Parts: sequence; structure tokens; C-alpha cells
Amino acid sequence: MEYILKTNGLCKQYKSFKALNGLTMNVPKGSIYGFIGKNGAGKTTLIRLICGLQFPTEGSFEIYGTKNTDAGICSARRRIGAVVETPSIFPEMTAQENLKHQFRIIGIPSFEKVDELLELVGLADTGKKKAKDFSLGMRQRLGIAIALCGDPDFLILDEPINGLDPQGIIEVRELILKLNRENNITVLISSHILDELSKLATHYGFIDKGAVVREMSAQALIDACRKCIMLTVSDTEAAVKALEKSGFNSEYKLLENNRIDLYAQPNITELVHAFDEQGCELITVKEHDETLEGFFISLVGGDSHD
Amino acid sequence: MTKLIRADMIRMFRTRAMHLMMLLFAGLMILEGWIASGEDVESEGHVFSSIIFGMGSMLLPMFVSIGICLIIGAEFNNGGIRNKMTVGHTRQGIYGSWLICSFVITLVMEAVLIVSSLAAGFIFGKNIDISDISVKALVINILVMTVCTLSFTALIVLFCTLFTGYKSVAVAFIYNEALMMIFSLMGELFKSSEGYKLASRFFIQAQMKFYTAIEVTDSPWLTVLCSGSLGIAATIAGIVSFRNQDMK
Repeated sequence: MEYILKTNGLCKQYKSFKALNGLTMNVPKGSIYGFIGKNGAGKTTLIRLICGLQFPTEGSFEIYGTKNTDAGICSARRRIGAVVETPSIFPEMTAQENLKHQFRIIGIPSFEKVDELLELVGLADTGKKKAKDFSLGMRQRLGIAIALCGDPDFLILDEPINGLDPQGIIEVRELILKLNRENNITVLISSHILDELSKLATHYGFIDKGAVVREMSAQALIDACRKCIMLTVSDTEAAVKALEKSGFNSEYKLLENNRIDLYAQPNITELVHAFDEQGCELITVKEHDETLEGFFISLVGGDSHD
Repeated sequence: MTKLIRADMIRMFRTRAMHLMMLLFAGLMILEGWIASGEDVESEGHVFSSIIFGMGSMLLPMFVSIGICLIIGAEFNNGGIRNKMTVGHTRQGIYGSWLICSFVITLVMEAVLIVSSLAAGFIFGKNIDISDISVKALVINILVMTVCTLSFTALIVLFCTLFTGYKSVAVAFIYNEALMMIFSLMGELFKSSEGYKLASRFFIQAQMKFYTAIEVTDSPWLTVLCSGSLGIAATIAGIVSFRNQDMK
């Protein structure tokens, strides 16, 4: 798998506080990577390091295969667009002026794409309205438009739905999905709102106390959170025969240590009989019903960092 | 860096605060000309020189510092600096662009000072004898004042990166006022001291009272050397500090 961003044991220390503590993660190309953690877990710190706003105290990272200590890191960053914390916009300028300013910073001589970008983020009709008079959602979308000025392959969004109303959340979500699917932009999106990320992300990284505690694909997360009956049996081969015979054709998953997850609601008495017929003992039966939030809490613990 | 300079220049000259500051500065210079025309300014040669080397040179550092701090402070406050760094601009490039733009602000403000003083001189000083004005003194003193002000500008850019955001406006204002007060008090106490004379060559706040339109200031090249070296030192310190600074 090709990775856009790789971090290796990244640490960042502010005096006595360790914001990042050996963070290792990999963002696959073409993915929407949901970066989840509680407030203060180190999400924004990581983004600041990637964007070059701060320097790691230990460890390293690579953007498009270029190490952060290499001379070419600035060139690699030209392929990035980012909205770090709050959207970086000049409030006294209109949406169009803000985009033109960013075009000049990047060195794009023509402003042809300005209207296209405003259209893309739904700000085409803002006219002479200054950014200071924009709603939070409009500012967020303008921030994303600015991040898109240089035609990036990699978009970093730090808590892009914070403070948005439901309509704003839907707009930003659809925009991110569109950018990923139609423009093939890899997106790293940090949030602590798991439910919202689950509607977007193809990959997840769970961060706690400055380290990634788990990386997984969206499918793996769905599987982990899917309601199922967890069985422990004496003989998996016999158990499979019993399950197939009982009509649970592909609704189960074989795991290690004679464990089987059954994604159905069987009649337990009938199931026990079927196993017995195949000479398989059913050792334990447990119901597994975990929400995304429950899974997150089980990974990072329940105490708040706020 | 040329991309950054171009972008910063356009933003700077389109900022309404800059236009207002230039207008206010010009207005104050003309007002000063009107006030000076009612006083006995014959000893200074002409009402024009009393503006440019009197009130003008006192207000110039203040207006320059406010202008620069507003322009650079906005980058920190609104996150403009993040947009520059994220797209791969180097910190030296960003600092260099700010420095060049700040020099341009300084020169524009000085041009406003000279033009408005000239205008005030023509409007309010018609009946005053100007025969003792030396063009050479005027030109050299303006050039020395320019170098001192540019050196001060380099210091203000350093402050803007050390005290990020609009708090740099307050820091620059306090620095400017404190230096004026210190050199004004020290001037009374150590007027003949060589140490004081040398120290005063580094700072525009100490230099301004030595300029007239009648005679060239004492050892102008030494002043240029001292003040220029302070500006260079401030720039080196600024770049080194900015290169290692954590941004938010």
C-alpha cells in the first residue's frame, strides 16, 4: 500500500508536558483517514508538525516519501492543503479576495480557478460580503477553499465540523466526500465526534495521550462494532459444519483460539443441538453489542482530558 | 520569496488601516505646520524643517511601528502564516518578505512625512526667511534619518515575531516611548559623555533631536554604521529566532 504520510515515533514536548509520545501512523493514498482522540490527545499538535508550524522533539515523519529533516520537505508540503484549528482567513477581505491572496502566495498568476473553487464550496454568491460577516460554516468552507488553492493531493482538516449546525455539518461532509471521490484527494481529518467521522472515514487512527493506540480500516471498525454472538467452541471445523447445517451460511467469522463471531440471532437450544450432533462442545456464549462510542472508550479509556 | 513579497505588498496597500494611518500622519504633519507657523521658528530656519525634524521625526517611528505590527500581527492573529507555511514557504522567506514589506511601509511613511511637511511649509511658512536652509544638510540628515528608521523597522519586525499577534503593537509602542524618555532624560544628565553620544547613534529616538535643516548632523557615517549594524543584528536575531519558533 502506498502511504502519503508516515510518522515514526513522533514526540513533541512543551516544557514538562508531552503532547505527542511516540506517535506512529500511516495514511494510505486515496483514503479518508479519521484521526480520533479526546480533546488534548495530541491531534492538533500532530497536524502542526506535519504542516511545519512546529518541530518534533523526537521521531520523524515522511510526506510523499520525503523525510521532515530533508531539504525537499518544503516542496513536498506544496502538495498539501490544510485547515489547522480555525480557518486561516483575513476577515476584512471578501471570499474572492482571500482566495486571490492565497493564489498570489502560491504563485499562481491566473485567478481563473477562483470562481470554480467558490462554486465548489458553495460560496459563489457571497459577492462583496466580507469574511468577518460569514457564518461559522461559511468560514469553514472558505478555509477549505483556501486549502484547495494549490490543487493539493493531500488535505488536512483539523476538527472541520466543530461548532457547525446540522446543515453546515452535512455540507462540509458532502464536500469532503466529493473531494475524495471525484478529485482523488487523500484526506486526514481529525475529530472527536466519532459518529460524524464514521460517515466519512475509510481508515481510522485512534490517539490517546499522544500515541496512536490503534489503526484500522472502516470495515474492521464496522466488524468490531457489529452486533454478534461470540462463541468459544472445542472444534471449529465441526462448529462450521453445524453452522452451515443450521443455515448460517456466511453470517459468521472464524477467529483465533477457537472463537467464532456469529452475526445472527440464533435459537440457542437449536444451536447447542446442532453443535452436539457434530461432536463439538459449545464452551462459552457471549453477546457482543458495541457502539462506535463504546469501542472508542474501550480503546482510549473514559477519563476526560478537558 | 518574490511570490510572498508580491502577495504581502498587495495585501498591505489594500489594508484600510494603512490608508487611514497615512492620512492621519499627513494630517498631523499639516496641523503641526499650522501650529509651528504661529511660533517663532526662525532659529530652526523654516517651518518646514521644524515639522520634518521636529514632530515628524518623533511621530514617524510610532506610525511605522503601528503599521508594521498591524500587518504582521494580522498574519499571526488570522492564521495567514499557516497558509504560507502549509504550502511550503520557508521561514526565512516569510521573514524576508515581512522585512522588505516593512521597509516599504517605512519609506512610504517617510515620503508621507516629507510631502506633507513640504506642503505645510508652503502653505503656512510663506513669510519666513528660508535663506539659511542648507539643501546638503537637509538631504544628508533625511538619509541618516532613513537609515536609523529602517534599523528601527528591523527591530520592530523582530518584536512582531517574538510577541506574536496584535500584542506586538503594545510592545513596539512601549519600546518607542521608553527609548524616547530614556534618551531625553539621559541627554540632560550625560550631554557631554562620549558613551552617551555613541549609544545615541544606534537609536532613531535619540537621533531625532540632532537633525536640523541648517547643518549636517555630527559624524553622519558613524551614525549610519551604528544604526545599520543594530538593524542587521536585529534581522539575524529575528531570522534565527523565527526559524526555531513553534507556531500555533
